[in-house]
Amino acid sequence: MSLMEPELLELIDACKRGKSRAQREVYRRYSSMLFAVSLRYTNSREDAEDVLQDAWVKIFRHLNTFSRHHSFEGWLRRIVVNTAITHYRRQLKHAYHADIDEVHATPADLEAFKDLDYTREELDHAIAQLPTGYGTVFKLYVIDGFRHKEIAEMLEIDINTSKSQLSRARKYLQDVLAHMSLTALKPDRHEA
Amino acid sequence: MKLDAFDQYIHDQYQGYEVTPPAALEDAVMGKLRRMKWARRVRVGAGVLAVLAGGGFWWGATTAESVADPVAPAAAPVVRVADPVDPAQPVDPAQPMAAEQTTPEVRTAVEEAVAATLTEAPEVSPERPAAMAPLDSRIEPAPLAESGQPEKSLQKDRGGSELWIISAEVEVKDR
Repeated sequence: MSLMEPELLELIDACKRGKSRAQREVYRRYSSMLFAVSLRYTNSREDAEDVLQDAWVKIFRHLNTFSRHHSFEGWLRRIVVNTAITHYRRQLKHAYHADIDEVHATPADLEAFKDLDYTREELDHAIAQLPTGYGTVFKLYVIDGFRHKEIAEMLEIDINTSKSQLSRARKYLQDVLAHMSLTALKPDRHEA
Repeated sequence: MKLDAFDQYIHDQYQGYEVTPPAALEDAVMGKLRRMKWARRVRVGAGVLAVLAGGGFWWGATTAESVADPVAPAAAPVVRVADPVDPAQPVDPAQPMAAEQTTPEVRTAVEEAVAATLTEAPEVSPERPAAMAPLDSRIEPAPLAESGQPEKSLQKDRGGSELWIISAEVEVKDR
Protein backbone atom coordinates (compact mmCIF):
# COMPACT_ATOMS: atom_id res chain seq x y z
CA MET A 1 0.00 0.00 0.00
CA SER A 2 1.37 3.35 -0.96
CA LEU A 3 2.08 5.68 1.92
CA MET A 4 0.62 8.57 0.03
CA GLU A 5 -2.52 6.77 -1.03
CA PRO A 6 -5.08 9.57 -1.15
CA GLU A 7 -7.84 7.43 0.31
CA LEU A 8 -5.74 6.52 3.32
CA LEU A 9 -4.65 10.10 3.83
CA GLU A 10 -8.26 11.27 3.76
CA LEU A 11 -9.14 8.56 6.22
CA ILE A 12 -6.35 9.64 8.55
CA ASP A 13 -7.36 13.28 8.29
CA ALA A 14 -10.95 12.36 9.11
CA CYS A 15 -9.74 10.40 12.13
CA LYS A 16 -7.76 13.43 13.24
CA ARG A 17 -11.00 15.40 13.15
CA GLY A 18 -12.59 12.77 15.39
CA LYS A 19 -14.92 11.25 12.81
CA SER A 20 -16.22 8.00 14.26
CA ARG A 21 -16.91 6.42 10.87
CA ALA A 22 -13.33 6.96 9.76
CA GLN A 23 -12.02 5.60 13.04
CA ARG A 24 -14.05 2.43 12.56
CA GLU A 25 -12.76 2.10 9.01
CA VAL A 26 -9.13 2.39 10.14
CA TYR A 27 -9.80 -0.03 12.96
CA ARG A 28 -11.29 -2.62 10.63
CA ARG A 29 -8.50 -2.20 8.14
CA TYR A 30 -5.63 -2.77 10.57
CA SER A 31 -6.98 -4.50 13.66
CA SER A 32 -6.25 -8.08 12.46
CA MET A 33 -2.65 -7.28 11.68
CA LEU A 34 -2.20 -5.46 14.96
CA PHE A 35 -3.87 -8.21 16.96
CA ALA A 36 -1.31 -10.65 15.57
CA VAL A 37 1.43 -8.29 16.73
CA SER A 38 -0.17 -7.97 20.12
CA LEU A 39 -0.44 -11.74 20.49
CA ARG A 40 3.25 -12.05 19.69
CA TYR A 41 4.30 -9.85 22.59
CA THR A 42 1.89 -11.04 25.23
CA ASN A 43 1.46 -14.27 27.10
CA SER A 44 -2.24 -14.78 26.66
CA ARG A 45 -5.08 -13.84 24.37
CA GLU A 46 -6.72 -11.80 27.12
CA ASP A 47 -3.57 -9.76 27.61
CA ALA A 48 -3.32 -9.30 23.85
CA GLU A 49 -6.85 -7.93 23.75
CA ASP A 50 -6.11 -5.51 26.58
CA VAL A 51 -2.93 -4.36 24.90
CA LEU A 52 -4.68 -3.90 21.56
CA GLN A 53 -7.49 -1.87 23.11
CA ASP A 54 -5.04 0.42 24.88
CA ALA A 55 -2.99 0.69 21.71
CA TRP A 56 -5.98 1.76 19.62
CA VAL A 57 -6.86 4.46 22.10
CA LYS A 58 -3.27 5.72 21.95
CA ILE A 59 -3.35 5.57 18.17
CA PHE A 60 -6.41 7.78 17.84
CA ARG A 61 -5.29 10.14 20.60
CA HIS A 62 -1.86 10.69 19.09
CA LEU A 63 -2.79 10.54 15.44
CA ASN A 64 -1.85 14.21 15.09
CA THR A 65 1.78 13.25 15.72
CA PHE A 66 1.84 10.88 12.78
CA SER A 67 3.89 12.16 9.88
CA ARG A 68 2.60 11.20 6.47
CA HIS A 69 6.19 10.78 5.32
CA HIS A 70 6.42 7.57 7.31
CA SER A 71 4.71 4.22 7.01
CA PHE A 72 1.33 4.30 8.70
CA GLU A 73 1.39 0.55 9.20
CA GLY A 74 4.84 0.76 10.77
CA TRP A 75 3.66 3.55 13.06
CA LEU A 76 0.67 1.48 14.19
CA ARG A 77 2.83 -1.59 14.71
CA ARG A 78 5.27 0.36 16.82
CA ILE A 79 2.53 1.70 19.09
CA VAL A 80 1.20 -1.80 19.69
CA VAL A 81 4.67 -3.12 20.46
CA ASN A 82 5.39 -0.21 22.79
CA THR A 83 2.09 -0.76 24.56
CA ALA A 84 2.84 -4.44 25.00
CA ILE A 85 6.32 -3.69 26.25
CA THR A 86 5.00 -1.15 28.72
CA HIS A 87 2.49 -3.76 29.80
CA TYR A 88 5.24 -6.20 30.59
CA ARG A 89 8.16 -3.90 31.22
CA ARG A 90 8.82 -5.09 34.73
CA GLN A 91 8.78 -8.69 33.66
CA LEU A 92 10.99 -8.01 30.66
CA LYS A 93 13.59 -6.01 32.59
CA HIS A 94 14.33 -9.00 34.74
CA ALA A 95 14.52 -11.32 31.78
CA TYR A 96 17.10 -9.75 29.48
CA HIS A 97 20.13 -11.17 31.20
CA ALA A 98 18.72 -14.50 32.27
CA ASP A 99 19.05 -18.02 30.94
CA ILE A 100 22.29 -17.40 29.09
CA ASP A 101 23.56 -20.83 30.01
CA GLU A 102 20.59 -22.44 28.38
CA VAL A 103 21.86 -21.53 24.91
CA HIS A 104 23.67 -24.45 23.50
CA ALA A 105 23.02 -24.77 19.80
CA THR A 106 25.84 -26.50 17.97
CA PRO A 107 26.93 -26.63 14.34
CA ALA A 108 25.49 -30.12 14.24
CA ASP A 109 22.12 -28.70 15.17
CA LEU A 110 22.34 -26.21 12.34
CA GLU A 111 22.57 -29.06 9.88
CA ALA A 112 18.93 -29.71 10.62
CA PHE A 113 18.01 -26.40 8.91
CA LYS A 114 19.15 -27.43 5.46
CA ASP A 115 15.57 -28.02 4.58
CA LEU A 116 13.59 -25.44 6.46
CA ASP A 117 10.04 -26.55 6.43
CA TYR A 118 8.17 -25.46 9.48
CA THR A 119 4.67 -24.27 9.80
CA ARG A 120 3.98 -21.00 11.51
CA GLU A 121 2.42 -22.87 14.41
CA GLU A 122 5.66 -24.82 14.87
CA LEU A 123 7.63 -21.61 14.79
CA ASP A 124 5.20 -20.08 17.28
CA HIS A 125 5.78 -23.06 19.54
CA ALA A 126 9.56 -22.77 19.23
CA ILE A 127 9.65 -18.99 19.68
CA ALA A 128 7.39 -19.24 22.69
CA GLN A 129 10.07 -21.33 24.37
CA LEU A 130 12.59 -18.51 24.12
CA PRO A 131 13.31 -16.70 27.37
CA THR A 132 11.24 -13.52 27.45
CA GLY A 133 14.19 -11.18 26.91
CA TYR A 134 15.61 -13.13 24.00
CA GLY A 135 12.23 -13.68 22.49
CA THR A 136 11.31 -10.00 22.58
CA VAL A 137 14.52 -8.86 20.90
CA PHE A 138 14.27 -11.66 18.32
CA LYS A 139 10.65 -10.86 17.43
CA LEU A 140 11.31 -7.12 17.25
CA TYR A 141 14.32 -7.55 14.99
CA VAL A 142 13.48 -10.55 12.84
CA ILE A 143 9.69 -10.56 12.58
CA ASP A 144 8.72 -6.90 12.95
CA GLY A 145 11.81 -5.44 11.34
CA PHE A 146 12.95 -2.94 13.97
CA ARG A 147 16.60 -1.91 14.06
CA HIS A 148 18.83 -2.38 17.08
CA LYS A 149 18.74 1.33 17.83
CA GLU A 150 14.95 1.30 17.93
CA ILE A 151 14.89 -1.87 20.00
CA ALA A 152 17.34 -0.35 22.47
CA GLU A 153 15.10 2.70 22.83
CA MET A 154 11.93 0.68 23.23
CA LEU A 155 13.38 -1.73 25.75
CA GLU A 156 15.61 0.89 27.41
CA ILE A 157 18.70 -1.23 26.96
CA ASP A 158 22.05 -0.74 25.31
CA ILE A 159 22.40 -1.37 21.57
CA ASN A 160 25.11 -3.95 22.21
CA THR A 161 22.81 -5.71 24.62
CA SER A 162 20.19 -5.85 21.89
CA LYS A 163 22.71 -7.34 19.47
CA SER A 164 23.97 -9.95 21.90
CA GLN A 165 20.41 -10.86 22.89
CA LEU A 166 19.54 -11.37 19.24
CA SER A 167 22.55 -13.58 18.65
CA ARG A 168 21.71 -15.74 21.62
CA ALA A 169 18.06 -15.87 20.66
CA ARG A 170 18.96 -17.19 17.22
CA LYS A 171 21.11 -19.95 18.67
CA TYR A 172 18.48 -20.81 21.21
CA LEU A 173 15.73 -20.99 18.59
CA GLN A 174 17.83 -23.08 16.26
CA ASP A 175 18.51 -25.42 19.14
CA VAL A 176 14.84 -25.76 19.86
CA LEU A 177 13.98 -26.33 16.18
CA ALA A 178 16.78 -28.85 15.85
CA HIS A 179 15.43 -30.84 18.73
CA MET A 180 11.97 -30.59 17.23
CA SER A 181 13.34 -32.00 13.97
CA LEU A 182 15.08 -34.84 15.73
CA THR A 183 11.98 -35.82 17.62
CA ALA A 184 8.95 -37.36 16.15
CA LEU A 185 7.21 -34.02 15.90
CA LYS A 186 8.34 -33.19 12.42
CA PRO A 187 7.74 -36.63 10.85
CA ASP A 188 4.32 -36.67 12.48
CA ARG A 189 3.50 -33.42 10.79
CA HIS A 190 4.51 -34.79 7.40
CA GLU A 191 2.47 -37.90 7.95
CA ALA A 192 -0.47 -35.82 8.93
CA MET B 1 22.84 -22.25 6.15
CA LYS B 2 23.53 -18.66 6.96
CA LEU B 3 21.85 -17.00 9.89
CA ASP B 4 20.61 -14.15 7.73
CA ALA B 5 18.75 -16.66 5.62
CA PHE B 6 17.34 -18.13 8.81
CA ASP B 7 16.11 -14.67 9.84
CA GLN B 8 14.58 -14.16 6.44
CA TYR B 9 12.84 -17.50 6.60
CA ILE B 10 11.28 -16.68 9.97
CA HIS B 11 10.34 -13.21 8.77
CA ASP B 12 8.62 -14.57 5.68
CA GLN B 13 6.61 -17.01 7.75
CA TYR B 14 5.05 -14.15 9.67
CA GLN B 15 4.64 -11.80 6.74
CA GLY B 16 0.98 -10.96 6.33
CA TYR B 17 0.04 -12.92 9.41
CA GLU B 18 -3.24 -11.65 10.82
CA VAL B 19 -5.58 -12.73 13.59
CA THR B 20 -9.09 -11.35 13.76
CA PRO B 21 -9.76 -9.83 17.17
CA PRO B 22 -13.09 -10.41 18.91
CA ALA B 23 -15.90 -8.25 17.57
CA ALA B 24 -16.60 -6.86 21.01
CA LEU B 25 -13.18 -5.25 21.01
CA GLU B 26 -14.20 -2.79 18.29
CA ASP B 27 -17.19 -1.62 20.30
CA ALA B 28 -15.03 -1.39 23.40
CA VAL B 29 -12.47 0.78 21.63
CA MET B 30 -15.10 3.01 20.02
CA GLY B 31 -16.99 3.32 23.30
CA LYS B 32 -13.83 4.37 25.09
CA LEU B 33 -13.06 6.93 22.41
CA ARG B 34 -16.60 8.27 22.63
CA ARG B 35 -16.38 8.61 26.41
CA MET B 36 -13.05 10.36 26.11
CA LYS B 37 -14.48 12.77 23.56
CA TRP B 38 -17.38 13.66 25.88
CA ALA B 39 -15.07 13.93 28.85
CA ARG B 40 -12.92 16.36 26.85
CA ARG B 41 -15.99 18.40 25.93
CA VAL B 42 -17.10 18.50 29.54
CA ARG B 43 -13.64 19.62 30.59
CA VAL B 44 -13.62 22.35 27.97
CA GLY B 45 -17.12 23.46 29.01
CA ALA B 46 -16.15 23.48 32.65
CA GLY B 47 -13.08 25.50 31.79
CA VAL B 48 -15.12 28.05 29.90
CA LEU B 49 -17.59 28.30 32.77
CA ALA B 50 -14.76 28.69 35.24
CA VAL B 51 -13.26 31.49 33.18
CA LEU B 52 -16.64 33.22 32.90
CA ALA B 53 -17.31 32.80 36.61
CA GLY B 54 -13.87 34.12 37.43
CA GLY B 55 -14.39 37.07 35.15
CA GLY B 56 -17.76 37.80 36.70
CA PHE B 57 -16.32 37.55 40.21
CA TRP B 58 -13.46 39.86 39.28
CA TRP B 59 -15.87 42.34 37.74
CA GLY B 60 -18.08 42.28 40.80
CA ALA B 61 -15.13 42.70 43.15
CA THR B 62 -13.75 45.58 41.11
CA THR B 63 -17.12 47.32 41.08
CA ALA B 64 -17.58 46.86 44.83
CA GLU B 65 -14.12 48.25 45.51
CA SER B 66 -14.80 51.35 43.45
CA VAL B 67 -18.05 51.97 45.35
CA ALA B 68 -16.66 51.35 48.81
CA ASP B 69 -13.29 53.00 48.25
CA PRO B 70 -12.98 55.60 51.07
CA VAL B 71 -10.12 57.39 49.34
CA ALA B 72 -12.13 58.13 46.29
CA PRO B 73 -13.33 61.76 46.19
CA ALA B 74 -16.92 62.22 47.08
CA ALA B 75 -19.03 62.82 44.10
CA ALA B 76 -20.62 66.21 43.82
CA PRO B 77 -24.28 66.22 44.73
CA VAL B 78 -26.36 65.80 41.70
CA VAL B 79 -29.02 68.37 41.27
CA ARG B 80 -31.55 67.37 38.78
CA VAL B 81 -33.26 70.12 36.97
CA ALA B 82 -36.97 69.82 36.90
CA ASP B 83 -38.61 69.21 33.64
CA PRO B 84 -39.21 72.39 31.70
CA VAL B 85 -42.47 73.90 32.63
CA ASP B 86 -45.08 73.70 30.04
CA PRO B 87 -46.12 77.32 29.44
CA ALA B 88 -49.61 76.14 28.73
CA GLN B 89 -49.91 74.76 32.22
CA PRO B 90 -50.71 77.25 35.01
CA VAL B 91 -48.04 77.46 37.63
CA ASP B 92 -49.16 77.16 41.20
CA PRO B 93 -46.75 79.12 43.34
CA ALA B 94 -48.05 77.39 46.42
CA GLN B 95 -47.00 74.03 45.11
CA PRO B 96 -43.73 72.92 46.66
CA MET B 97 -40.70 72.30 44.52
CA ALA B 98 -39.79 68.88 43.37
CA ALA B 99 -37.99 66.71 45.84
CA GLU B 100 -34.80 66.70 43.77
CA GLN B 101 -34.62 70.48 44.04
CA THR B 102 -35.17 70.68 47.76
CA THR B 103 -32.43 68.44 48.98
CA PRO B 104 -30.92 69.66 52.26
CA GLU B 105 -27.63 70.53 50.57
CA VAL B 106 -29.31 72.60 47.94
CA ARG B 107 -31.60 74.25 50.39
CA THR B 108 -28.70 75.17 52.65
CA ALA B 109 -26.70 76.54 49.74
CA VAL B 110 -29.63 78.62 48.56
CA GLU B 111 -30.31 80.00 52.00
CA GLU B 112 -26.68 80.93 52.47
CA ALA B 113 -26.57 82.61 49.11
CA VAL B 114 -29.72 84.58 49.86
CA ALA B 115 -28.44 85.61 53.25
CA ALA B 116 -25.14 86.75 51.79
CA THR B 117 -26.91 88.72 49.13
CA LEU B 118 -29.12 90.44 51.64
CA THR B 119 -26.21 91.21 53.90
CA GLU B 120 -23.96 92.59 51.20
CA ALA B 121 -26.60 94.54 49.37
CA PRO B 122 -25.65 98.24 49.00
CA GLU B 123 -27.82 100.74 50.70
CA VAL B 124 -30.33 102.46 48.52
CA SER B 125 -29.68 106.17 48.05
CA PRO B 126 -32.55 108.23 49.39
CA GLU B 127 -32.11 110.81 46.64
CA ARG B 128 -34.51 110.66 43.79
CA PRO B 129 -33.04 109.92 40.44
CA ALA B 130 -32.69 112.66 37.88
CA ALA B 131 -35.67 113.29 35.76
CA MET B 132 -35.69 111.39 32.59
CA ALA B 133 -35.79 112.99 29.20
CA PRO B 134 -39.18 113.54 27.57
CA LEU B 135 -40.61 110.51 25.92
CA ASP B 136 -40.72 112.18 22.51
CA SER B 137 -37.00 112.63 22.43
CA ARG B 138 -36.53 109.02 23.20
CA ILE B 139 -38.62 107.91 20.26
CA GLU B 140 -37.03 107.97 16.90
CA PRO B 141 -39.15 107.68 13.86
CA ALA B 142 -38.75 104.28 12.51
CA PRO B 143 -37.94 104.01 8.87
CA LEU B 144 -40.48 102.42 6.70
CA ALA B 145 -39.84 99.01 5.50
CA GLU B 146 -37.49 99.05 2.63
CA SER B 147 -39.52 96.75 0.59
CA GLY B 148 -41.36 99.66 -0.98
CA GLN B 149 -44.59 97.81 -0.67
CA PRO B 150 -45.56 98.19 2.96
CA GLU B 151 -48.36 96.06 4.17
CA LYS B 152 -51.50 98.10 4.30
CA SER B 153 -55.14 97.44 4.82
CA LEU B 154 -58.35 99.43 4.42
CA GLN B 155 -60.10 99.57 7.75
CA LYS B 156 -62.96 102.01 7.53
CA ASP B 157 -64.74 104.18 5.14
CA ARG B 158 -65.78 107.42 6.93
CA GLY B 159 -67.74 109.71 4.79
CA GLY B 160 -66.12 108.72 1.60
CA SER B 161 -62.58 108.95 2.91
CA GLU B 162 -60.47 105.90 3.20
CA LEU B 163 -58.43 105.01 6.31
CA TRP B 164 -55.43 102.92 5.52
CA ILE B 165 -53.49 101.32 8.26
CA ILE B 166 -49.87 100.70 7.40
CA SER B 167 -47.76 98.45 9.56
CA ALA B 168 -44.51 99.88 10.82
CA GLU B 169 -41.81 98.98 13.25
CA VAL B 170 -40.78 101.41 15.92
CA GLU B 171 -37.51 101.05 17.73
CA VAL B 172 -37.27 102.64 21.16
CA LYS B 173 -33.88 103.39 22.49
CA ASP B 174 -33.54 103.47 26.21
CA ARG B 175 -31.03 106.20 26.97
